[in-house]
Amino acid sequence: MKLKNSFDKILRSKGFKKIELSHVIPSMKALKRSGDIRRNMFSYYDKNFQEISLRPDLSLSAALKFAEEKTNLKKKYFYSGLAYRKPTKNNDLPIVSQFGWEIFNSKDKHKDDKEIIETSLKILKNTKFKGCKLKIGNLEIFVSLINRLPNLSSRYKDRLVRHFFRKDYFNMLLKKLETNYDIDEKKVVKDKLLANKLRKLNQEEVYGGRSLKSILERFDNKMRSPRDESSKKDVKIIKNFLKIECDIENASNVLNNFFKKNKINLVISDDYFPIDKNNINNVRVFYVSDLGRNVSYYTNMVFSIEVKSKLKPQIYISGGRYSNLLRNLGYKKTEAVGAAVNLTI
Amino acid sequence: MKSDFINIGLISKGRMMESAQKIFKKNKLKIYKKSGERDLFGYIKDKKFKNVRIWFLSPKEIIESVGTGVLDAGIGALDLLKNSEPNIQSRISIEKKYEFGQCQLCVLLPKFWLDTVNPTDLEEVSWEFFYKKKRLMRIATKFKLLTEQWCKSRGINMVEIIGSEGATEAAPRLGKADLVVDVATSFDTAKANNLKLLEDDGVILNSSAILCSNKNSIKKREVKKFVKLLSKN
Repeated sequence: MKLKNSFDKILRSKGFKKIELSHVIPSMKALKRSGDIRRNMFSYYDKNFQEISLRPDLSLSAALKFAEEKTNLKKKYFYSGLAYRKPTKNNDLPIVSQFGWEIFNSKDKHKDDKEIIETSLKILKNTKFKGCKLKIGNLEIFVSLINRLPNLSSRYKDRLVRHFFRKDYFNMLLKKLETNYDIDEKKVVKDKLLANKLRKLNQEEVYGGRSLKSILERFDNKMRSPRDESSKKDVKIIKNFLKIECDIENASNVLNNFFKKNKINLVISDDYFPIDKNNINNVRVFYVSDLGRNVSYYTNMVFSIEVKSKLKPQIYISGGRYSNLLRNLGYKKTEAVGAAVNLTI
Repeated sequence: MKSDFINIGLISKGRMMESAQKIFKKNKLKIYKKSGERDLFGYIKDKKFKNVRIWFLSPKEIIESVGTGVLDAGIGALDLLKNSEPNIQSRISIEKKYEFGQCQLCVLLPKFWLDTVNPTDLEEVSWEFFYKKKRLMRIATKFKLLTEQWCKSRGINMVEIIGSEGATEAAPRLGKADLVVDVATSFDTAKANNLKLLEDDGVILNSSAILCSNKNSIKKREVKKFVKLLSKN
């Protein structure tokens, strides 16, 4: 409680306003955030047969609260409370205490990203943790790299970006790219014959919810860009990219050398990252490519603060920038950046 | 229901019933009914098994009743066991998988979806529904749990699983769902309804009839003895 009060004080001093969040949300809203989360929600049907869920996480509730305000102004909120999720692992708890802060309508990315991280460091300073590490990454770099890979089909590029946050499935996709090939010559001939027949039918006719037109479009797209042996080279680049970890001061250099070596037309400027010092108040700062893979809606800068608790490293604060969450929830596209404390440590 | 009887579930209808009853015949266990053909209980003529009571039920009820302990054991179907609630499944052990009642639980798509041959395709198509139609891709099935597990393990999250208790294969034609997960043996019904099997990894489960027992009941000597007899064939 004491700790929470001190966090409140810090956030208020930085101009954040405390908000109260609804305990329930329409299930569809959560689902639009991510299909994954639905299975973990506690839901019921109200008298109008609308599916309602206990809030599965507070940042989603905060985003909905902001959207309801229908404002174009920049808003800085903080909140605390309980989130409810069905446990997926044995040690997980169904009720999680969360404390977070967000900046909505954050147009000056660099400045607001820096503010969120600096606020996190100030909060960290109020705790007893020592030997902490701040890790910074940016999903924009990963997406840009994927889009510039010469041998991957656009279908696979989309898939890899979409599933970046689901590590196991992402690795399975990479494996698939390395080992299997789309083309089964006999089948292709047969399918092309069928496709030609289908082209003569009414293209607006719907089969299983899809028009013939969209089925054939996707089929043609698949035929144009099959998976083949050249994908292996790109997979190697992706794997090597995800291994990059270095001091933040060297990050742009290391990344630019990597892109140059792999003939990727991408340059990271020296002032790209919101933090450019290797050490802030005894917290060492690193760049890590393989970061931000636990939250599906992050789109740009991601960070985490690692502390040593019970002799092992644990993430105490994490956060990042998200551009598409509100649009996916059915509202206007809004830039936002936020962070949350893991109060269970 | 607490009684001194050993309660055994037996499928009450169809080909599965005939095959299940053959197991009793092979073991020279003659079943008789006290109140005629429509009686839902049966007994065994052999004096050694006078305390065995047969319950004629649907395969789904057999699984549920074995799980809740109403039945000590029963002949049911693997797909129904795997699709039952976790608290039911955890109380049941499979004693034997029989050769009869074989079928496959399959992912069935409209036959003109020639662009969709594997789960990764299906995952991509699910996003097409989400972006273009502003809704989730719908799968009609009687096997909600197994379908959900399969989708989750293949990264297909943008789906809505719709319960269907009959004529499931017609769901895409009726506009009730976009694709179907259902049991198939010969695929005749699927073909007649313009559906095809998802070529790569489209079989969710190879099922057959099973002899299953309640984990507590099987500890009783008499139940164990009778179950052992049924599992011989």
